[in-house]
Amino acid sequence: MLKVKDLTVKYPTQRSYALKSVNFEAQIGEFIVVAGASGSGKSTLAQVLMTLIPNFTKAEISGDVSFNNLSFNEFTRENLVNTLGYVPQYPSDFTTSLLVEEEIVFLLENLAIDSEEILSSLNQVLEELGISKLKRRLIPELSSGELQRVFLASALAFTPPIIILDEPIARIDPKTEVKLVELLRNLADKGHLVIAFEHRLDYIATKADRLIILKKGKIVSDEHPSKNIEMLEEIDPPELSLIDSKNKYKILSLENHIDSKRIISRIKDANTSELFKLENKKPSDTAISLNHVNFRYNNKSNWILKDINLQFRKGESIGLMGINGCGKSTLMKVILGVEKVKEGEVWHKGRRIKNVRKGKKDSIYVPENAKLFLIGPTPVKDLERQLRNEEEVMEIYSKFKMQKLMKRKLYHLSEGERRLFALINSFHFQEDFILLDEPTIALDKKGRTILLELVKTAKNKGNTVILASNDPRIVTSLDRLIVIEKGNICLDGPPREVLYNLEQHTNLIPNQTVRFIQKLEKETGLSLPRILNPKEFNVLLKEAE
Amino acid sequence: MSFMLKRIYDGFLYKPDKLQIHPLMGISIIFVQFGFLVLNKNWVLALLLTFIIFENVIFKNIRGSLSILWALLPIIVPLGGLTYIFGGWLLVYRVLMRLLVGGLGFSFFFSIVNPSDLTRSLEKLKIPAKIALIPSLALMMIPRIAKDAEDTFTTLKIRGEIKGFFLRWLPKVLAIFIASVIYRSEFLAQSLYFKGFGIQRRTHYRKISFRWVDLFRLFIWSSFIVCFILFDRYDLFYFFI
Repeated sequence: MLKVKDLTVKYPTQRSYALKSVNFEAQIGEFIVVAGASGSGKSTLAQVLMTLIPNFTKAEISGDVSFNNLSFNEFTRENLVNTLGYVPQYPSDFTTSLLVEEEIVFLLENLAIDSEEILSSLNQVLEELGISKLKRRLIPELSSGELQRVFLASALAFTPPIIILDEPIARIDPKTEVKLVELLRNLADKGHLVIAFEHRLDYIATKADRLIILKKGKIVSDEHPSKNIEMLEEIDPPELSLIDSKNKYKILSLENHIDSKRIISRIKDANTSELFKLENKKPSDTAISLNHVNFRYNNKSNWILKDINLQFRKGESIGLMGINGCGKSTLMKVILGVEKVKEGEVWHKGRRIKNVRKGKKDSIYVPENAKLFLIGPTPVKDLERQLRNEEEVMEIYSKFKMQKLMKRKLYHLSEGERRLFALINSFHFQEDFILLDEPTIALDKKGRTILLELVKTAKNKGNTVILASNDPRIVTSLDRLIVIEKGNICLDGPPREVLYNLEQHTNLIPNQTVRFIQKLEKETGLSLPRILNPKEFNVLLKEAE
Repeated sequence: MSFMLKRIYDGFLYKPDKLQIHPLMGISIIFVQFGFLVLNKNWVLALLLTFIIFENVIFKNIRGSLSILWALLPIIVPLGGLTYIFGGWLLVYRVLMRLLVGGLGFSFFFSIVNPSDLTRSLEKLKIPAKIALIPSLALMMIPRIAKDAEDTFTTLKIRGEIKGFFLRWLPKVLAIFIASVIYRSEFLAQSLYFKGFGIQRRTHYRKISFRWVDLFRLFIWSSFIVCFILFDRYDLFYFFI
């Protein structure tokens, strides 16, 4: 049994406690999800459990963490490695090898496991996670989602009694999310303790035994997800739990807790013909255009992008979706002119872009690693480089209620806070094109709301915003969705059209609300409007009344 | 700068699909090359460069060696010019030959030696795992750091931070780059910690053995050393010309 008793952690650089009097017990065979807003102490707790705090990060720490009555303070490293497996939030920082297969076997070799056993574990875990093709690939050449799966494989190849995962599904598509959560559930059923620290709770919360909610370093709730899910409404609510939450349907997932008969009896009489029709917007001027673009990194490698023809308009928000490694980030780099196209042309406002070095600056880009974007010692200094007006900077941060954190050193912020500052700052560069790579990683509900507000403001100014993300909580709110598969554009259109055709034309699955509607249609034979999110579903329920 | 970093990354990245070499052969050849480089014999430098080009061709690392040549170009031109002014043509020859031999030799070594295999081979020689891992980490980290630096540079370029005279922006780039290297090494230490490195004698999931190609290279390099000793001792080089 894992026991955390009166755990309090305080970083020397911060006034407040990162964790305060945290108490919980966890049994082997449990699947626990820990949720909370950005900066609530999730990663700190994960690092304390892994003994990285205080061994690597300085912090005042009191209380005790023990496993089977043996305190972690008395653990030898051998004990630790044999007991705990860890998947960090940013796997790219933690790689120790160049080849995928060697990264996975590194831990097994260190534990002196027999070579035949290593090979069989390696092949088994590669197959389970569907990454056999990556076996001989180089780690620097992988996309972040692929790398996340490789790290999961390295933790799962040797399944210790406790597995700790810090945002394991932040970068992966909904289909892989379902597979991975099932895998974690199976591991728990086989007798492992699985603790996942996560923001994206749509599916994972439905399979968990317990949901621990952290708020400002304290545990505010620790129960079965069906009992405390409403407490997440202000933090990270699972998508379906927002459907008619006032009437407490308590919908957690498609499989369980669905009171579909009650819902169907309510909505079948609704006049749905006028609801959620596709809007016919007047097309605005073309801002960016890609003509017959083909791209590959070198002459011998495979084509990453194949015959891409796209037009992005002024004042448009576009989402790029696709399974990990499909070419989303590469397409962004091609649009920016960072990667030179081998065949075809990229045009920005009627000017051909050959190379970012030669082009006139008109775009801003926030990479997936937000650390690279921010260069001031504090967020406020970073934005001042651009605006040079302190009052204006203060006003911006006050508007988003970020004043408390704006003068904190960048490396003392949590990943979510840092990303949010990078996003806020990027939208104030006054550039025509804003490109964001996986902007929702580590963001909580507040962060996502701010992001959508920034996108809306930028659109109103006539800017074009392009986001590469598989996060359904964001992509459903955009004007247009483009699905890329194996370097080709598979679907391109309004999210309402794309998401309802996703399963037919691609290897992806849509978000839970769309799946829910499709399930209801199948069950009842009714033709329901194409609803994208719980907010729209609630409009439908209201209409029915 | 981005141009150079991209090419350093390409030139120094391990290529698993290329013809591989026994890591111990690779490391001993690099040492031999260094031995010859410190000798002040002009004809040895030319011969060494020919050998290394030949090796790069045999081991299909033409792309890697061309990348390194491109990366070296912005150094070769000013360095060559300055050396000519202060030391004349002979010094230019000596300096540039060393630069090319070093660059191409390392590109060859990095491209065909699997870093993890190098650790495994050194461990087999009873070298403690903690020491055996050091060259492997260096092999792994150099291309990765080059990629990190390139990403940093590109992001700053897009942000509009890199403009004007290079001395204005270079300190900023270097500061960010050094910070990222320190952070990466910190995370690497954490990774080695929770992945149990060094807690006991490691097993190896595959064997590394000498192959014909390694023996062939051993023969070529041994011949090179023997020839050098003979030529040097009996002044045969002058006899031939």
